[in-house]
Amino acid sequence: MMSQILTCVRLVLMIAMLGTLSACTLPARSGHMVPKSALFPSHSLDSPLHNAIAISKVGGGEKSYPLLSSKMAKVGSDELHEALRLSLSQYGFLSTSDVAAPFRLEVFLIELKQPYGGLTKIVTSVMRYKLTRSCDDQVVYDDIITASYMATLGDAFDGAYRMRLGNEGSIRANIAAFLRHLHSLNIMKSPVQ
Amino acid sequence: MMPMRSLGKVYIAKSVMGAIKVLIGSIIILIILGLAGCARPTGYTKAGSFLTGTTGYGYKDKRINGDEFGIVVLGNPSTSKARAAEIALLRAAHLTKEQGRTHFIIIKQKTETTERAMTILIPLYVGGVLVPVPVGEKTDKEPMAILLIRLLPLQPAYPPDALNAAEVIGHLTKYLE
Repeated sequence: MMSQILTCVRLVLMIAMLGTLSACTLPARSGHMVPKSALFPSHSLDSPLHNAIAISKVGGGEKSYPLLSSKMAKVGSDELHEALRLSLSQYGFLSTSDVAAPFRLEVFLIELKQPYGGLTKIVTSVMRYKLTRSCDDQVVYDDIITASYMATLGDAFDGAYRMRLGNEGSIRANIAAFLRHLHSLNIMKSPVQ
Repeated sequence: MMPMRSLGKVYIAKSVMGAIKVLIGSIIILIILGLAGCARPTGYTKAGSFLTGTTGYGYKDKRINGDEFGIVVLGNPSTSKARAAEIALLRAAHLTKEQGRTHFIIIKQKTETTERAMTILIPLYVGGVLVPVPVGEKTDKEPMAILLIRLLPLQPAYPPDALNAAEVIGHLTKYLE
């Protein structure tokens, strides 16, 4: 009887360990990192930033490792670039031309703090945004934004999926904070003569 | 030959002793876990990863472009924000030396309080095997310091806001390492 219980417990533990090790890493989805429209006031058409920003550089992202644990789920630079492009486009900031854009945006993902375990995944992203006016190379905005997102067991039962939601939510909140800063930014398209 | 009543008593006594052993074992493990929770503040150490078996507390750095670097320090809950910021500054100084430079300037600095949800586990003996059973969660506050620096090229004179890496190392090393 005792040996049967032991075998059963060992089996359950082995299955749990295998499940943890084989949990597929799910890379972040660009579309899920775009902030919801309800968060912002309507964008002013006479703003100097209207259709005026080109994304010149995005870095700091890391590739996910599909066969490793959910902790290794990261946000890649390409996905981040696409999320930024979609966000700027959705809120009327994205320039139609990369070359002739009045402003250039550089974004760098400095850190993506992820939990090692736990049921609730709190992910914190640290991103640097640098906006430069093209005509005189004047930096008009340079700041570090941190934002967190909490993915709970109620959001997803699967740990890897929960981590993905945490990653995406954190980046979404970070981009949302940046867009709020853009809305309140008081700058001119060209320097005052 | 032992009478049946005595055999019963021995059996009950053994069961009680077994239960007491399990209880004592669990209490000892809880005390060890509790003591492990009272950690010392994070020192000047590179942040590891789960795969390397380290805590994840300490510094990390990334080259942003050219001579610009981003440094992030994550401290354990016993670490103050000020200490995390000093670790970041010390790392900036070491990084400057590693890159063959002597001075750097701070472009941006920030300290934040981040949260980490920890699952509370109670070890229970199930069929003679110690199994950690989740019974709840608690949220710890952890300081995070972020530093954005630019390394300056070697030159005869440096701007007034430039920091001398050797001086920073001299000031901070003793009580951070």
